[in-house]
Amino acid sequence: MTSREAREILKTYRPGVDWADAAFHEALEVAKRDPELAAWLREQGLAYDAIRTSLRSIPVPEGLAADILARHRPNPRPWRNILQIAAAIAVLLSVAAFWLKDWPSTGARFTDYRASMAALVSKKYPMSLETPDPALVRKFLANNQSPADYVLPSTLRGTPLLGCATLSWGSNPVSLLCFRKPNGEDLWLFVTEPVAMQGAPDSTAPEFAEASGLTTASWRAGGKIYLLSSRGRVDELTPYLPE
Amino acid sequence: MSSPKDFETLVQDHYRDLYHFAYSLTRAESEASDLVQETFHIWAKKGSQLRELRSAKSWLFTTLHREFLQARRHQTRFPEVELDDVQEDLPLAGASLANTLDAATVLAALGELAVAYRAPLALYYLQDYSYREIADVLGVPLGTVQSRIARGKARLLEMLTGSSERPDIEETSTGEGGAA
Repeated sequence: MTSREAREILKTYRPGVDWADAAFHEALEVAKRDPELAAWLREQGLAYDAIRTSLRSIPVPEGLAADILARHRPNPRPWRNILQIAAAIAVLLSVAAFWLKDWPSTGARFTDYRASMAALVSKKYPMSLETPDPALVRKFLANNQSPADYVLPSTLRGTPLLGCATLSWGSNPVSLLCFRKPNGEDLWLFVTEPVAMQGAPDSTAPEFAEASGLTTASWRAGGKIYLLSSRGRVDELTPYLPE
Repeated sequence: MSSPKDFETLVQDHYRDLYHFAYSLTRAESEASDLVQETFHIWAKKGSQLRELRSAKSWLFTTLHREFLQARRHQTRFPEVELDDVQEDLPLAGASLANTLDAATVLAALGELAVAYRAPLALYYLQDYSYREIADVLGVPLGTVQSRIARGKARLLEMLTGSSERPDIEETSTGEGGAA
């Protein structure tokens, strides 16, 4: 290879970048033997470095990276809230659909209410909120316009809470609280406002009945109608009733 | 490459290089910033399927170049220098350039070249890409890239050093395609 041919090849040679490129190896060897070509190559290297340094000194706008990341940063909280709201709505709709399916529009009777409630919990049903925290349950029910100013019998207050569901009786809201007895069975307490229901309890004395395979006890207290239900015998339910 | 942390790492690793490339093409801060943002936006939508970071970098440069060409097609076209004739040899001015050159001067000279020359030259100077990699990024044959870099570099040095009379030029309104 002549010096002229080597110079032609080395016109695009970048010091520090192209040294490993085999296409330049022979030309570089020629430059080692030719001082004039070597001097020319050094000049080209300086020019390359000067242009490269100039271009790489272009200031990058402050905040560009932040702007890019802000545009694509996942914002989990709103999505989480939306999902929670969507889940709550789905639960409410499903429970409401379940209820409205069998609910009489007029001439409601307490026995129907009791039977429907018992039927609801006698099979798998959705919970609106799962938590052992009584305060959270009460707050959740209040926030969802469901009866929350209930008074629990003392034994029930000491029974582990599993969660709650917000239901409706026609246009009247019903709160469902779920407890876990020491034997592993569940207790379901329904609380609703007094409405025009034929045969609804009118005192604090519990009235027992069987519905959908469950034992139920109902009473009226503090402007609320309570319905407690569980599997098992009456005497197994009695400890959880008002004294 | 799909987690927010991966995306943040990708942005931090490449946004400066991409901006320098974009600015070399556009010579406008807002346009360059938009190109970089759009490139990462497209990555967020599509490119995250790529698994290797090395591929990701080339993908980003290719995408930015393509977006630049597409944007140009919608803009008023300005005359650019097509290189019909350049000096056969490169001027000897390395030492003086090292003392006098600044980014604005280089960009002004670079901006007078057609995009077909500007894009490979910008990658040639800014990045450590091989000629094959530059060809892949720009979506043109290797020989074409080598020729454009050689001719573009010669013309750029002529403009920067004022070492010769301006060669015959043909003003053309064509930005060249060739996107991958």
